[in-house]
Amino acid sequence: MNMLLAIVANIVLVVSALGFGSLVHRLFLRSFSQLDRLALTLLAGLGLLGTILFCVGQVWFSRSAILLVLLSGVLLAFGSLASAGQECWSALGRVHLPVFPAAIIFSVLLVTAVGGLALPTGDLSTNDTIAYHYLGPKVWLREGVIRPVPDEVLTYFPVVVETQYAALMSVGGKRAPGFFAVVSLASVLLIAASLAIRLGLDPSGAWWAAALIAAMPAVYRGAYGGMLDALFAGFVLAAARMAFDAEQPGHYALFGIFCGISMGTKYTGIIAWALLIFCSFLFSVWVCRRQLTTILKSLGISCAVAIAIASPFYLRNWIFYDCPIYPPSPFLLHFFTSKNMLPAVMQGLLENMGRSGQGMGGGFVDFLLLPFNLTYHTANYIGGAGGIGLVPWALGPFGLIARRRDAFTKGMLLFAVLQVAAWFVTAQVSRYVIHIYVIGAIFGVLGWQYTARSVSRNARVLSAVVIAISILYGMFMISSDRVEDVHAALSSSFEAKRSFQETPHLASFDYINSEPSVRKVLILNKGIAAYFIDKPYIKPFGRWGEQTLPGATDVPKVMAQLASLHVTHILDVKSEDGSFQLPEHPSGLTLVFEQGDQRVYRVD
Amino acid sequence: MKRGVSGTITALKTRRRPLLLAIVARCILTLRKVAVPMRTSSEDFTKKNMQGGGMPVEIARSLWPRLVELWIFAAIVVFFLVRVLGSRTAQQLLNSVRHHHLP
Repeated sequence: MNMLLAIVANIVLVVSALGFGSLVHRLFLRSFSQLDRLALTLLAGLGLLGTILFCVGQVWFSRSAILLVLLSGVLLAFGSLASAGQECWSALGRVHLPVFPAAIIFSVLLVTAVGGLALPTGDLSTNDTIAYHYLGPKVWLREGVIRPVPDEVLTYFPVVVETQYAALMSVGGKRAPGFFAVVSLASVLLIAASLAIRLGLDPSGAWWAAALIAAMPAVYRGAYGGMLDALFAGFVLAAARMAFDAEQPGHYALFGIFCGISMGTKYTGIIAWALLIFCSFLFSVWVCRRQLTTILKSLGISCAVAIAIASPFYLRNWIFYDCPIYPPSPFLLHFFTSKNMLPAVMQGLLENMGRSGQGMGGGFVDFLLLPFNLTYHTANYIGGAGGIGLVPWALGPFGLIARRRDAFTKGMLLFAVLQVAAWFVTAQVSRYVIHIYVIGAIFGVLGWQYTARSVSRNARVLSAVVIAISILYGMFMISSDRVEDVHAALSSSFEAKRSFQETPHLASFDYINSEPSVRKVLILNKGIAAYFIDKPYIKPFGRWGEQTLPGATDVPKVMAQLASLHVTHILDVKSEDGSFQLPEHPSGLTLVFEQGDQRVYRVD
Repeated sequence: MKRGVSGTITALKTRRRPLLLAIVARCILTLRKVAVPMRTSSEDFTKKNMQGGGMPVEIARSLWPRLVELWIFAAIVVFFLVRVLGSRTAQQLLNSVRHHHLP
């Protein structure tokens, strides 16, 4: 029943997104195919739905509010897509399904769907989703308003996707956000196929490109388990699709909408936006030979729309926390102050970013070796385990050669090069360049078609071997990565066993969640994953060194404020040094639950 | 302090970064024919185009397919060396075989 509800919630969300996406239909190019329209409608809809939920959630974020927003989208969908639906079905009827790539895509989506229904497990150190992607939505739903969680500084990030996780949790329960991976992956594959055809592939080639992307472990990693990087890549690709095809002001407005949604999803969207505007400018000047005033006017429209779409997320931070980008970078502190930001937290974040983003070095030679390293050593870039397959490296260059005279290809290539350079000098985390992997796969298939048609029989055979290796290796890595999730979704006993093994302090969470007398909990240790607690809580110390209670810099000072906190219970677990935060038999507290390294006290 | 190669590059980047960026962008956007007359599609490989070609065209016709084959073959070989033989499982397997054969 829980699983069924999760699936239904996702279907409602997708229909609602298609409804909101239909609002941008007027901005489409006339030359767009049904595939282009579907991909861009879905992506625009997901972005707009997340933004609307965020805006409404600033004042009201109950289940009623969420249902009201979702149903508005559903009504829009029925209104506008009823006529388009018939056309779509007739177009689908004419689609020729190539067996192999369609089977690959179907298997990956099936594994994603089944594995996505498993309950999330893990802890703060190993799982970003538990740490903040799911924590924020859970706390918003409890509080009835969207505000960052003070004990987790990363919940101040833009949250286009997380607001949809909240809607899914509210309607479909804990399993629903996991199932959203299907929507996320399908969106990327749709925009990839659309882009592939625009770059010169035939429908069969577009299917193969989508199959290769679905079987890329480095892309797949950004699509499941609450990760939002694949969907972010979809938004950026949609923006790029518009950037080099836009002619009318309306097209530039749609380009701006996708840039704004990207910025509302991740801070790295700001870099993508700046690069796309820059590339679009150069493209218009050198390739399209347009007048400078026309170009500036068109890009001005894009920028204004992008800023307007992204502004709710940045204005919220600016109004409440004094800086639009929060946590702020040291550079921004020259212009803004930052409320509640301790220097130790800043230092911790910077150190973590430097450590995780160093990749395989930042020198000039490392930059030149990047295509090789990303192909053969993707696991050395965080989030890239399993790699991107051989296709972009082995066949991509020939795709570039084959399409070297095409203007759209030049624009995409320029954006890809600059995006990789920006990624190289900022944070070399594999998940942040999923859109480049997608472009690489498309050029790989272009190269495959080129070698198959034009070079030699040997090259044709070798190309087929490259494709086979990429898909088989990718499928092997993906299936071995998801086998436990699939098992957990199909077997409740295995799921319970796995939760117990992988989620530290689960026994205490179970006690707190099931005991009716527990109304508000004080969590003393910074390493505890508050996501698993269903009751209101106070966590004085966050994992980055956040301090949420004024003046309470250590546990004794927190305990001194205990009366004013109105908590009913205290959760205390052993720290890394092997000791509890509270002494044995603390006065005013009664030990009500103890198991191994976990203790729960009742406040007398 | 003596400035190394990387220092020179960094200094160059900071002073000339906008210029370099513009040059790279210009190069990409004005991509023309590559030095060797490589084929862009199957149509370019029709015999009509190849007839009457001089020595460079003949060399290109015989050399280019071999280069393409070599590139793809090398990519596959490196994949097996790095991702298959270089994997932890393969290393453990090789180590056990080596120990087994040592006296």
